[in-house]
Amino acid sequence: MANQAHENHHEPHVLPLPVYYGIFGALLGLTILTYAVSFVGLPESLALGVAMLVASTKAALVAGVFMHLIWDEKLNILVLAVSVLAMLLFFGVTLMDEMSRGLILPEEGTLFKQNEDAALKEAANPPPAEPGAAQAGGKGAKLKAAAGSGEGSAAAPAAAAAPAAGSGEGSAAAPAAGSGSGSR
Amino acid sequence: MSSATNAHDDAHGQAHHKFHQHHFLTMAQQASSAKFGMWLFLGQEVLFFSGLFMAYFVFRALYPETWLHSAEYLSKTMGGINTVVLLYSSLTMALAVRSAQLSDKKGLIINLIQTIVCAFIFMVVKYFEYSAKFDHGFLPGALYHGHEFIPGRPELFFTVYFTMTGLHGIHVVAGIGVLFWILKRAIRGDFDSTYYIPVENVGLYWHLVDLVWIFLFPLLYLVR
Amino acid sequence: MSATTIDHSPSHAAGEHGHHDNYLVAKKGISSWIWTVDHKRLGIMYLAAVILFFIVGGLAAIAVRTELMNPTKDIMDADAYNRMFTLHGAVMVFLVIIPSIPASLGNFVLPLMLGAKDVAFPKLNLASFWVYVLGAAFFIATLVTGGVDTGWTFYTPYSIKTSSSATIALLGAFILGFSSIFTGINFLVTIHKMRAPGLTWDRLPLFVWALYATALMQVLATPVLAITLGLLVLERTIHIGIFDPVYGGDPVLFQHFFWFYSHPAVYIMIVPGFGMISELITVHSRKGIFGYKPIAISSVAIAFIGFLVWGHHLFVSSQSALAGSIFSFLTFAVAVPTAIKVFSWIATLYKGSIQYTTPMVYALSFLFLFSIGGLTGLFLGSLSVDVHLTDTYFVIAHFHYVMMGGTIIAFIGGVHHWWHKFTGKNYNEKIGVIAAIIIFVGFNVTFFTQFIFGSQGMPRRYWSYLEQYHTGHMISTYGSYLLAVGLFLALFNLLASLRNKGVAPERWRGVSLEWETATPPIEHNFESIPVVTAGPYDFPEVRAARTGNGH
Repeated sequence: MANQAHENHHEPHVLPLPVYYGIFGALLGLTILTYAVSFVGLPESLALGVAMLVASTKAALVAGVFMHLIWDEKLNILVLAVSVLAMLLFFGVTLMDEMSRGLILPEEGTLFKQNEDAALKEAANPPPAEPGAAQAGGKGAKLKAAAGSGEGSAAAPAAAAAPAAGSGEGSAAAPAAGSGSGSR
Repeated sequence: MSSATNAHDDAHGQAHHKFHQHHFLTMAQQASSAKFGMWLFLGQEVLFFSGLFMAYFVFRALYPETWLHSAEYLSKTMGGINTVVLLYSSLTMALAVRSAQLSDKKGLIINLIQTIVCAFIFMVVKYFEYSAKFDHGFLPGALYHGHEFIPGRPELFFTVYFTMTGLHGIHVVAGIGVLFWILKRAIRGDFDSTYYIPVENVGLYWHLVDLVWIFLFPLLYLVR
Repeated sequence: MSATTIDHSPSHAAGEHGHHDNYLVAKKGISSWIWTVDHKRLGIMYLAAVILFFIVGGLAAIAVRTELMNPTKDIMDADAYNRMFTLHGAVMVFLVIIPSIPASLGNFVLPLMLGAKDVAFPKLNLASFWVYVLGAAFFIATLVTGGVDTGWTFYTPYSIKTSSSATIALLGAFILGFSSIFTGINFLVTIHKMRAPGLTWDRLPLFVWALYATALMQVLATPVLAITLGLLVLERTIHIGIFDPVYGGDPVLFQHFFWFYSHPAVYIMIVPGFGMISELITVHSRKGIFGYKPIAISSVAIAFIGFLVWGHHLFVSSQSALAGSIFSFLTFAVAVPTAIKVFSWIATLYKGSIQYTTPMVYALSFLFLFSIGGLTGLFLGSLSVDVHLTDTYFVIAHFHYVMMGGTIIAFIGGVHHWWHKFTGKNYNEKIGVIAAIIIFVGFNVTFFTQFIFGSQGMPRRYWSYLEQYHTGHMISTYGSYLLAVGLFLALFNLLASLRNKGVAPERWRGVSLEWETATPPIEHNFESIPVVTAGPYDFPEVRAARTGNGH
């Protein structure tokens, strides 16, 4: 199988020397760039974005040429892609939790923070057919239910039906879900 | 594994290569398997490091001020020098693989030695950096006793700094080990255009060490 | 893949063919086992180790159940009880279930199923085994140094503060992780690169597909566990603060790290069981699998979804409500590929010639027990219901139905299925079936009871309990004794067969490649490289039925 497919190229794939030196030059240039940008004093998030963009470019050059990935079997590219995706998933979801912990105020129980609530209403009202608004409304209703059940395990049976209702609303009628989250 | 003498797979009518392992049908299959295995290993390395990057992002998001101020106490110059050293070692490693592909034994040995020298330079610079941090009490967690005022949780910044660069340093040291092993085999004349997969795999590992540093440098040293 | 499809390569001179000894006797002496790179011998060594630790973990379980017989002290105090259930959990997860099917049965059978002479990296395979032994030694060392009382999950901040020998256990689990990664890398490369000519992806036995999905998760998830445990060791030794609120760290972050591995690890444990059942059901009902592609792809789909749902372990750990809702929703997605498998197995049984052999009885037990385990998972995946049920015996019963009723039952079934291939001996079929039935009954008595008093509020990991749960606990404990009797009976039945002389006739008549080689297999698996021309479940009966229908 695999061996048959490769029997024909026993000859190693050799790149000309200037390619190596060119890539090294580019890497040096990008290093100087990212070093210089750090003295400019960009706002923090922008600085992080630029630094990551430059670093990713450098990483792509090293992986593509020095690690020979461009001319390699597709399978090896897939391995790198899958592991990087798994890593991004790990980052994204964990940060999503860490950053959204204050979203629901314990003293207000089932309500969003007020500005969140206002934003939701705005999103739900003007263009009714917008899919993003429908999702936000559905989430709102579900969050409400989750916070309700968090109040104590005694309330669990009553709250049990709520998430199902919330997700149903999310898919069916966005305005209803939006108004629901305000009226509770 | 090395029982290549046993007459098991002459099915393809090829001459036996000295390093052909008996359970592979062809050298091409052997090389392709070894390389795929190496890539899988690198894939798990990415996720191994990801835990520390995760800690970095979480605590940077929680304590942005700490990150801005703590990074002031890292030397951008030393970090920059080490970046250039590692990039150059990546170049020589790639050239070492190229020399092996061309059966150029002398070039292979010279490039490997350059790579090893760069690795040592990297560790020496690291040593000076670390001792400066030790002197100022910039240590991880409970050991932190820095006198300069840094808002928030500087002990967490230095935990992240030491665990990330420390784990990376361990990989550099391991890299020096495998580079010496490859150098020994190269001097013995094991590698030529028909068999150079160990050089290639060690090269892949070394480039990964470089890749991690490419991200560590801006994240830790160039916060502002 | 029947015998007629195997071409003996013509380029082999007749003289080369001589007699090859089987792998058990090809090399002699203890060191020929210790340093072996033969995947079959390593599989057997893993099998022995797994069974040994299963007995250790099982005895710990019996001790725990005995203590719970009465709400007061029976055989140990509360502190010893904490250490005992931790020992049970850690040994069962890290030393038994994770290596059970892939590292023992998989190691033995995978290259045979692929028509390969060995796994891609035999030395790595050997390293993996000894790394496993080293990690196990650390676990055993904790017994001497006083035990661990954190539970197998090592949750912070308690695991930072506890004075017991948690550091040693953490190092042990760290080391075991690498054993698992090595096996995963080895299997992935072997499956991709070492298949025999003609063995295309859609002709792979489903067991191979399951091992493939498992190996994928092992390689992607286990390193995160390794770094997590490494950080926790540093946390305990020099207090680096990442998981410790005293230094501004976040203990819930530990749970994210831990479950990013450990939820996929749940699928690392169960997916090989799925693969095993696909083999048992087809071979023992003499019928081609229903829905080959959906079953194969659903294994990979479970591996993928398995990475998206870890937060359902954090519903009450002060995870954000947004994250909780999203994780709850995604958790239900796991039910889809799982149900595809269960329905396909049932459809395979439909109109099959079901033979109530020992492996088949285990497979049918699996279908019953795993369905209960899977469906109760939906209760726990619902955010609001979980608030009530979390940390009760309902959870205990749920994951025992999946892990023990699923994986371990499939594992025991697999050992019976391939016992003849491993050893060349036939065990007593009647005793085998009786043992399987005792296990099934004992299991349900033990754990179904726990669903009931769990849903009534009996919390897990408690040494004592209210009088109202007394009857339930008593029934559960008696059930566990019955379960133990069944398991020992099955083990003795297998071991007793080793005393038989000579090689017994083969009974199952499977047609995937592992059945084509000699029994026990010769050292290099095949006399010549097989060429595959048909699917893995193309039994003579299946082909006859196809031609009979006029196709």
